[in-house]
Amino acid sequence: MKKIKNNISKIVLYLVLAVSSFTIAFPFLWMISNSIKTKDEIWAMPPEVLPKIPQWINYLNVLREGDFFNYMWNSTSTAVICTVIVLLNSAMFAYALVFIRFRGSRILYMLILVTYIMPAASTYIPSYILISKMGLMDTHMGYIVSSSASIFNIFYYRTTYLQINSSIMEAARADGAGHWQRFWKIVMPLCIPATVTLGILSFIGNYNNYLWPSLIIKDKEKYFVSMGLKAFFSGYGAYGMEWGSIMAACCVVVVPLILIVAFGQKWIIKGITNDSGVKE
Amino acid sequence: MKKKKKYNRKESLAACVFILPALIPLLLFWIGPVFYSAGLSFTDWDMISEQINFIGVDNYKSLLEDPEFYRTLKNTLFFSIGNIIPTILFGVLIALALCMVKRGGFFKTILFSPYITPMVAVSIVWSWIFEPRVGIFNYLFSLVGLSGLQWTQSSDTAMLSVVIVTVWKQIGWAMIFYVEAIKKVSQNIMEAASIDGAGGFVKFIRIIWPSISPTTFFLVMITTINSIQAYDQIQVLTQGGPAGATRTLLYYFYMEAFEAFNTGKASAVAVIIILITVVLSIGETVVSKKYVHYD
Repeated sequence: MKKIKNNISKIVLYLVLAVSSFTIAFPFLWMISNSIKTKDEIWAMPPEVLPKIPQWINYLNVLREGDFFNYMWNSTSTAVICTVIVLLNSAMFAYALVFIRFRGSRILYMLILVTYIMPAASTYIPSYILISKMGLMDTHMGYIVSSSASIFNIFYYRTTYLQINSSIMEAARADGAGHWQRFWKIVMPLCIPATVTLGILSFIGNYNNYLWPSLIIKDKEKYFVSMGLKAFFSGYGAYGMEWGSIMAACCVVVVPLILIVAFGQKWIIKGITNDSGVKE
Repeated sequence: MKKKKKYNRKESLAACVFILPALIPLLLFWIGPVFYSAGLSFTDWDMISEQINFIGVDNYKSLLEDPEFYRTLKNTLFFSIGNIIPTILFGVLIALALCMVKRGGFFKTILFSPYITPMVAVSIVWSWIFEPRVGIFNYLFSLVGLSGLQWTQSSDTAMLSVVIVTVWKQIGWAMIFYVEAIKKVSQNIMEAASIDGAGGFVKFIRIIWPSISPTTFFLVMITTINSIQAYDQIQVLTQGGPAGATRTLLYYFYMEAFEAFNTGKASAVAVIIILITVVLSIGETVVSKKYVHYD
């Protein structure tokens, strides 16, 4: 009797999970199915789940009209550069906070703590002015320079470092290893899981970024993915109502990212809560 | 511990080397701008003209006298609360279900995936789902005999639409944190409670919910900050409309700064956004001291 009750509760649990997963995944499924429908099928009422003949031409339209490979290249190259920079300088900054005793380290930590909650928007106007003074307006370099510090990464590395066994560090110090050596030979190898997680998160954050790049980059050739997609949506949506092509464009942008989660889920999902940033 | 600490000069030098690569951009693009914004908020600058006049607190005065400002404030409040409550609620419920089954990895990945997709792309997809005439939402409504809504096109439901998209995107993220927190709840206490005959609901209220309160606190805090900073979904779905129904404080800032070029006034809005964030963070910390249980 108890076994039956157990089985029933298990079925209910899986049902709850399946329904919620389907609800969450639905917009993606709907996006995919609409991306291969004809205009008539899209506007049909009641809606049709799948098209009679998949309209791959929608994708061709996107690639012909949208310049999406260029946008993806812009986003990818910029995001990679930003990611490498913020991984390195955040790891170093956190190292100083955790492993070096120096005057002002507490004040510095407080400063970071306060900056953590600062809304990015409050920096937009002065950063905008600074970038134009530096002559970097409308360049990817302008975006990279202004995105080359990450307080989240500093915090994450700090939390990770605090989990490192201090006896290892002591032993290295006794062996005469300087901070630079300890950083590269001990701390960084131990924190590979944290670095991978932060690397993926930083990359995705920069790749998806929209508001700030759209303020400083105006040349369509230099657009990032989100900006290119928005421009395509406004251009097509307002006049043509070509929803099939718009959905295909969304697929082009979204599907690679979903693949990243699917393959990197171990790193992202486990790492995001930062419980095991240190290799054991 | 001695009160006077001796600092090694060599150590301080090493610290400089490790700190500067991040500190320089941090000062230039984060900390400096916050003060610069505060300074600009007392001027009438328009971003173009050479002349900058100091006008005291006039920007703040005109904001505080502007009914539009209070409306954006109210919108921001509704938007934040509308995000926090469902995110916490669904996040914890799904996490509980996940923790009770053996193989949840597949579900976890699906539930988490919206979080890493670009807000602009998913907002476009949602705008099609919300479409009043042929959108799937109104079709589902018609199946159960309800009349359809205007969603993003009516000032009554536009905020609801933006909230739905935002919550949809972050539930999976909140869930991940709850799963980790629930896993850490002491099994001994849970078993003791079972022996005492406590049912599932009692166990949740008495043991799990208090144990995961630090996670709840963290999520409420971050969701608040994220809600105040939301822009992409509003821009795609409603552009702050219709009739300003989804114009949050941040969207108002964007319009004043980069559409109307009222740099001074926009800076005043930025300062107010900072103040609100700081006050809320302090407030939530104070409340958490009372209700959050750290081990």
